[in-house]
Amino acid sequence: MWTVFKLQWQRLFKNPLVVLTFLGLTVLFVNFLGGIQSDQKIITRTYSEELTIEELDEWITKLNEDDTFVFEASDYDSIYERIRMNETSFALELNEESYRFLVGREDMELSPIIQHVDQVFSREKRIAQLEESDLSEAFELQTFIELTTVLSDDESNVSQGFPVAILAGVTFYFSAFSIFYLMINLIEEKKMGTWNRLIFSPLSKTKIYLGQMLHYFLVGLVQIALSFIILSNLIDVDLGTNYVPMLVVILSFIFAIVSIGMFIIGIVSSPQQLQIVIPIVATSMAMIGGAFWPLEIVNNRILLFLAELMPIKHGIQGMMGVVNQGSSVSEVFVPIATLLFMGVFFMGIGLNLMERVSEKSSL
Amino acid sequence: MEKVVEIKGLKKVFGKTQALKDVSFDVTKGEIIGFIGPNGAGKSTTLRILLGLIKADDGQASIFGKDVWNDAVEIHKRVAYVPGDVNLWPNLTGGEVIDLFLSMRGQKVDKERKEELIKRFEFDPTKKCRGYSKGNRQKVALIAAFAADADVYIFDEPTAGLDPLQERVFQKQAREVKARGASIILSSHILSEVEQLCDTVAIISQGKIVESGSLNELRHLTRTQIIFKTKEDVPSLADQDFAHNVAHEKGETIFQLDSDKMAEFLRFVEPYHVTKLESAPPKLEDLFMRHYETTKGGV
Ligand SMILES: Nc1ncnc2c1ncn2[C@@H]1O[C@H](COP(=O)(O)OP(=O)(O)OP(=O)(O)O)[C@@H](O)[C@H]1O
Ligand SMILES: [Mg+2]
Repeated sequence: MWTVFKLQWQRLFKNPLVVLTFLGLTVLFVNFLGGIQSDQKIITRTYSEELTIEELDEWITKLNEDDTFVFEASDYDSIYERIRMNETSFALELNEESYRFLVGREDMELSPIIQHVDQVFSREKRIAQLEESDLSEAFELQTFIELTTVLSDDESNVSQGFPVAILAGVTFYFSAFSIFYLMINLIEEKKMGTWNRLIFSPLSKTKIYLGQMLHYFLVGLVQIALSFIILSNLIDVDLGTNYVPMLVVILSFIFAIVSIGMFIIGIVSSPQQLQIVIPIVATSMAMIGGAFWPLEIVNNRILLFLAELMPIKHGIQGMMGVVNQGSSVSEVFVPIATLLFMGVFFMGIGLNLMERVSEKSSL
Repeated sequence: MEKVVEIKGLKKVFGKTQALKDVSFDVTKGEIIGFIGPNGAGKSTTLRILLGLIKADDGQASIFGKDVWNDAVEIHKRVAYVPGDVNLWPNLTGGEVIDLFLSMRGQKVDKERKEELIKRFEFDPTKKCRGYSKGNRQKVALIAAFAADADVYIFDEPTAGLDPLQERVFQKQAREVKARGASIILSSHILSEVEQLCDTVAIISQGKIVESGSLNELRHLTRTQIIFKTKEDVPSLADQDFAHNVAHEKGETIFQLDSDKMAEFLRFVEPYHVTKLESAPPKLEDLFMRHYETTKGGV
């Protein structure tokens, strides 16, 4: 078994392009998808017709004290142009005694910003009033209640849950790709006749298959682990330290994928056909399974039902449970069990198909 | 003699072709058996069944008394195999593949023996298999086979890609293995190779063993070429049923004599004052060619 296992690695190291490509693509993709979703803070462009530049800057510094929001000085003309071109949806106008929002289009972000500006503005006004009165000597500015502003609730759910789902989804997608592609090797070995070399060795078929599958398994595991490590350092997603459940979810997922791979190569027995079938299967599985967008936005019942059949959906669900809720193994039991069941099911059929084919036409 | 390989009544059908109809032969310990027959006769199919690569439809085949299909794993520990067309992993080097083959056997690799074989076969193990010629790929399998301590060697046209010099190396190696007490099944087209190397032959044609036995036994079935000259004319030699293809040349008579009818011929020719009598030893080739011809007629 270890000989077969070693052989596969030997071959992989001489030709690691596929796996490296998919690893690279994972990083690229997640960065891209994740980048759109979070990361960007809304910039509120601010201008004034009455205040001097210094006064405006002073206000902006005060507004920027809370770093949930970003305010930036600008001038009316450029803001007007931006709103007109739909590049910005709103802007803030500050005057001596008042402020005003210039709104080109409704935006979810707007109301917390209005709240924030209102707060800062009234506080400053109060301080100014106090300073003008005689009490100013005895007065010391103190913050009694620390107010923290977070972007609205449902908003934060999406933006925190979404990157994990994407991260897991895309990583799983590309690792499935790698595993499937490597499995073409097995078919090629059968075609080339080197498979017979393995059969004709004092290794039982079970051991040969085990050696092969262990190899795919490990490649998948390494790829997923590397992707997670690279990505959680690159983008702002915290995968937490819930390692054991996470590993169990990942292993179950890889098992399901390896099994489905066996099933596919049991049906499709030419390398050329596999080159076509694999991207189709992997991609549609990922799309239906919600690797690229959250399934919450899907309404179609049939699609939602199909999603249940996709291992990637359960993999993502498991990962989200583990990362977002800190679930233990038993709490993500359902996705894990589903994955394991799929694994056993497809492996059984796949191996049977393959052995039937090889018994008939072994060269 | 101890039988290491026993094959009885093997049958195999591929779709509509009946590749094997009835194949039976035995191999004893320390014997080299030549397995010969025309293209498509069923040699490779028989050997693949022996190797447990395909399953026979009917009949028994055993090596070391174990069933070749059910006990394949056990058997393979003591069997080495070289096919006529060796397939290798294209991105590994020849040396790596040899090591791999040997490590698959689960035995310790005899490094010295391996190096010695690499030298004898004048093989360069550092190149990628992708770039090897047919002969070099074959050398990989041959070196791995001979470096392994097997008890049965199965060769399916192993020298098809080797040059004559390397063929000699192969024969020498095969004899060494035989001297050690191992058995060899050698399927071949090259008669001279079989004649030089083998103790027994089995001739297969259209999925059936048509002749088998020791080389000497089989020579009885062949015809001896006789050239003779007599003072008096010999009447009607062509009418005798032991004589075939009678021809006259420069006063000499040339004909084919059934090898087991020598005494009869001598009695017949004696009264006519024989002045010259030459006999050429029987050639296996003639026997072989006879079977080739029947195949051609049959297809
Ligand atoms: N996998 C297969 N599928 C269908 N037919 C096959 C298969 N393998 C062999 N045959 C057929 O079985 C017959 C015997 O083939 P086999 O390869 O055993 O011949 P052979 O004696 O080794 O010939 P050669 O001297 O050319 O190597 C041939 O008619 C061949 O076409
Ligand atoms: Mg053949």
